[in-house]
Amino acid sequence: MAPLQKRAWLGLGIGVVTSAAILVVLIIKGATSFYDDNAMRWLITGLVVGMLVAWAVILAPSISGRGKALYDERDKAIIRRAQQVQLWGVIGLMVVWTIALTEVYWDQGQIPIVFPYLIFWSVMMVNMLSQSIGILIGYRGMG
Amino acid sequence: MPKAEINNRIRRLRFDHDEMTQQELANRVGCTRQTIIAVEAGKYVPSLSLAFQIAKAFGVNIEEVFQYEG
Repeated sequence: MAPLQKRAWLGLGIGVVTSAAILVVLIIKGATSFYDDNAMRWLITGLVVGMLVAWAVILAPSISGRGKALYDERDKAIIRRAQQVQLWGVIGLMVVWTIALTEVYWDQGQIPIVFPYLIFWSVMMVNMLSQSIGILIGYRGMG
Repeated sequence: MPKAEINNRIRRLRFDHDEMTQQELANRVGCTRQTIIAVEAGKYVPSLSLAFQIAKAFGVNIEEVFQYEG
């Protein structure tokens, strides 16, 4: 297994575990409890920031061009193709957020202020997850 | 339009060169062993630069390593 492929699996594993933990917290407490539950807000912020830091350590060096000894032209081609998966992942997420929030809060004519915050974190998470998935798809296609 | 394919003789050439390993070839051309495996299997078409380097590692012309079949 190529070094970048190993890192993509690790990134995907961390991303899935963190996302699942955040979803569980949001389902149990309710997304709008962000207003009055500081502990929950810090917990989710900590999880997302932890995931961002893990991503920076695991995958960012390869994407920024550092670690040249480990990555060659095929790895770079795979990273470029993975950006397409990232793009569609983020677009898909924005479509879901837009439709869901519009349908749920149509009558009120406005959405709770907490949602831009949740949208931002979720975009960051999907961006990282879809990058790992895109890299793994690339290795499947390019041997 | 039929899909063009690029075949290669890397495996044959490795064995003709004292059974050179994939790792040795990778070290000579500056890529990972996984990339040599993918090129050998026809799953990845290398850049011109890498193709020339592979040919140079075997001391042959590029046409003797890679064949285009349109």
